[in-house]
Amino acid sequence: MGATFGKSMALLHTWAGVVLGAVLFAVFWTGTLILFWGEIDQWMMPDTRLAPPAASRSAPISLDRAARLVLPLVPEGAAQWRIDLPTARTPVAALSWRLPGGEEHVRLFDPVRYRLLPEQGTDGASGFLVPLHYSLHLAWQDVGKWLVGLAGMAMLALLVSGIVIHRKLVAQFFTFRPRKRLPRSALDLHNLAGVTLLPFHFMLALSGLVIFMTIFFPQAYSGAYGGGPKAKAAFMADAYGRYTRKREGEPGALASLDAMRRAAQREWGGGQPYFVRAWQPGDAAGVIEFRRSYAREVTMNLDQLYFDAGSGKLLRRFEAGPVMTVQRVFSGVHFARFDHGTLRALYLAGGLAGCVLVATGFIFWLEARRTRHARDGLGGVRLVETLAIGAMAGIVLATLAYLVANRLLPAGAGLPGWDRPALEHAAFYTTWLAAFAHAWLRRTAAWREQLLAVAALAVAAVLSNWATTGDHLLSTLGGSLHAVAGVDLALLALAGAAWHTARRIGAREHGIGARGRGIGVRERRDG
Amino acid sequence: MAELTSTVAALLMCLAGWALCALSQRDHWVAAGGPLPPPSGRRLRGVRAVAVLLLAGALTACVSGHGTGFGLLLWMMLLGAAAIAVAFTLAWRPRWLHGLAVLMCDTV
Repeated sequence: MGATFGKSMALLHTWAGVVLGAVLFAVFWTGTLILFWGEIDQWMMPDTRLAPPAASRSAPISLDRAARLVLPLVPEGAAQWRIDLPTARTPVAALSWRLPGGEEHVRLFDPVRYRLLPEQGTDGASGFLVPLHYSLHLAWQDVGKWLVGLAGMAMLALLVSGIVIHRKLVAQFFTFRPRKRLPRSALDLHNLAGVTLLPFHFMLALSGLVIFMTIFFPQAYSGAYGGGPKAKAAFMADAYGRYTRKREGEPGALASLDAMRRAAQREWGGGQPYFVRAWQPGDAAGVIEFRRSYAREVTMNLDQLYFDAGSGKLLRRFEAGPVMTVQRVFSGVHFARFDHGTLRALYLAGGLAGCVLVATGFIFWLEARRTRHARDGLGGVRLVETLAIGAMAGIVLATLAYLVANRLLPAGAGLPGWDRPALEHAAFYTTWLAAFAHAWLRRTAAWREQLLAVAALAVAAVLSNWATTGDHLLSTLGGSLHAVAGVDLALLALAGAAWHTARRIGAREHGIGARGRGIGVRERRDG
Repeated sequence: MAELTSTVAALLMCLAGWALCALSQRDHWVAAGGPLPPPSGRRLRGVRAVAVLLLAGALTACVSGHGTGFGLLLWMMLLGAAAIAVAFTLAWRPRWLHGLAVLMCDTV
């Protein structure tokens, strides 16, 4: 460790950033994208691009009619089934059921015209990008969640150490000198993105850790409940709510779901449910659960109502306790699944700023050491540069490859042991690996080359959407498919930004504008 | 509509508040205010007080238009967005803040 506190903090900041920067970028990039998981899902599953009904939008879905349509799909002996109701951003409804062995099945349906939708053959954003965000798809022994948790904890340490080592926090609060040499302008942008949005970055990292408190901090509940699976189940029931009744083994009928829903709304003083779930379906002891929507508030409430399936009588009402409500507030701040367009747009900007934070950190580290490592024959710059290019440009390329594969793979595509979603995943991972390999071989030239590839692939994604669905920007903007238009516009914006940056890199390499001076700022030896 | 008004009002207050803070710093005054002499110490203290009032006022606007939960979050995000907007303006178009610098000058 360094001789002084400041030097220790500098070492901590640099090492944590270099070692975990790749993981942090992956988490920030996927996190930013999944703010719009509903829109990306619509883009990737064209059958779910449902226009809202011509009649008044306030007519809610008839649960009984939906049940008649979808419940025949649920096999005998299923442990539970669930219908996720449509929302403004996800116009499709989803039936899912779970078998006693734990296996889950999903089927989407149109809640306005009461039609089943064909299998979409994709995991979309909700099934692939979301788990990638919190677990990197490394399921064995929760290794992925622990790695993301470590990155989250490191982010908190990076933020605090960054403040400590920033010697001119107030004097340089607004300082950004884009025309200076790359290490200086990169560091300026790094500081700007970090300091002005410090509360945002801190809150998102901390809330992410709080969401998985049962994994990262089991001592919080095992001290009171004890160890072992029964104690954990008791804690989960107290904290998250769970009402169970033993199976009777006798068949049971299903009372009117719409009547139960009306009773639920009365209980909640007007609150709407966002899903309905049946426990022990078909059994005389079956229970119907409703959960209240959290779209109008920050807190991700856990309000639940349980009805007897056969009679429709209210059995139990659950609400999170005061301490658990704190966890729900943190969760709400992190998930940002509320209906507040302005706030979610600002979250998008904040997430992108987080990506810029990691990118400028890497760039500063590389440029500050490039000549020294070349002169002394050290391999650090080459290794970290490969890591940085692959982790950042690479994951963007992989995401675009995932979208293009989604559009171009035929409906029934598959190989032995690989269904269509698995082939889409393969497109993602092989592109990511190829990006690392390309970065290793092409070194510094890979920045520009991969950025140009991003621009090309983003445009290809928009074109492939048009080619395979007929929905192009003019039709989606003019019509009601705003979600699809939004994704296409974002892809074009990404292409523009990537191409512009590639051109700037090319210009720098040719000595144009590489050694400009800041306007009206006295030249000072600082940083 | 009330929501949109309060958001716009809060954003404008944040922009003005941060711009005043920025121009109270020497380097940014030189970039935006140009040949004008920088304000005196007393004047600067008043300017910074106004800036703090504006930033705090933005919180009131957010909470009154959006409720406590959303209001607090929105204020936090608007503060960040506005600070970055001011920094980018000073980086690429500092003269856009010349009018504000004129207002900040000593009155005598």
